[in-house]
Amino acid sequence: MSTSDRDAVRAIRGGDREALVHLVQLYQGRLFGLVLMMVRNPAAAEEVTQDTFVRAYSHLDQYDDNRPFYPWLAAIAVRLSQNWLHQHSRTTRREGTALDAAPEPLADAGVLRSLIASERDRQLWQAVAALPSGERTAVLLYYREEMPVRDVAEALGVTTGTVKTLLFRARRHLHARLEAEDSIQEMRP
Amino acid sequence: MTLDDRLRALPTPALARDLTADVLNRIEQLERRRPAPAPEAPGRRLWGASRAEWATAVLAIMAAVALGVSITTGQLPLMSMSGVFRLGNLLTGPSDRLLFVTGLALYALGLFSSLRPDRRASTP
Repeated sequence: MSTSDRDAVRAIRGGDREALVHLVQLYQGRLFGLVLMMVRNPAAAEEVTQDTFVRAYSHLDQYDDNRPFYPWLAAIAVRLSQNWLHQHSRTTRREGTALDAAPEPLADAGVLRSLIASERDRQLWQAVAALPSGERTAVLLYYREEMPVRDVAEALGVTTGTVKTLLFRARRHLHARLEAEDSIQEMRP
Repeated sequence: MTLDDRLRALPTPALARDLTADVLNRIEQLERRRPAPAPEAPGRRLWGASRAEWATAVLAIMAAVALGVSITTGQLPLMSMSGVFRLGNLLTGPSDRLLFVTGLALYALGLFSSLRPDRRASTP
């Protein structure tokens, strides 16, 4: 944990609102990116990101100062995203449609283009977004958030062996999908 | 560039707006909704003394009476629960025993209320 994070957490515990503002502004973009990839809906991602900060604030007494702050925050975000996905899937099931059949705002190329400029990055983003939920989360936490396997396992509530399996399968799926897309583009005139 | 490198550099979709104000509002709402600790109900006081003080006084009187009785009858009271009940048995009339038992009950009640943690102490 960086000294500034530790100081900010201590200040928040002491009732300092400026320190809270500092941490929200520091991590909101990174956290939003993580949550958006999980829930795949920008409005829901904003909501879950806010929930994450509120939950972290109200449970700050459970945070161990000796551990890094962001992984703790990310673990809360993962749990809340999973809850959102669970509730969302239950709602869609009640309405008689499968989750996969539910419209995804990010399936709209225009929305994604506004979020990510590069075509190649968009392709990779979509490939990761199409992974099964467990693999997607493991990839995000391990690669994008650069969390060690042990922390990823803790955030997901699984063993380190399971995380390694999820990462292995994710890489295999991504290779297959990206190669398929490359060959389609090569065939285009 | 390998797949691992590309994943490490996975782009972060930009956040369209600053969420700080919303987060602060929600935290303030949360804090407003938190119930304030209920004030401790003031104990009933009779002639300036609390329940516990009255119970102690009654038991002390009863113990003194019991001690007097035991001295009169030549028996030594024991300072254990069985001893206390034995003291009660030494009392002569049924009204005295009733008074002794009432004193004991009041003493237990006073002890219980004095042992309860002071909830006001946890209020910031």
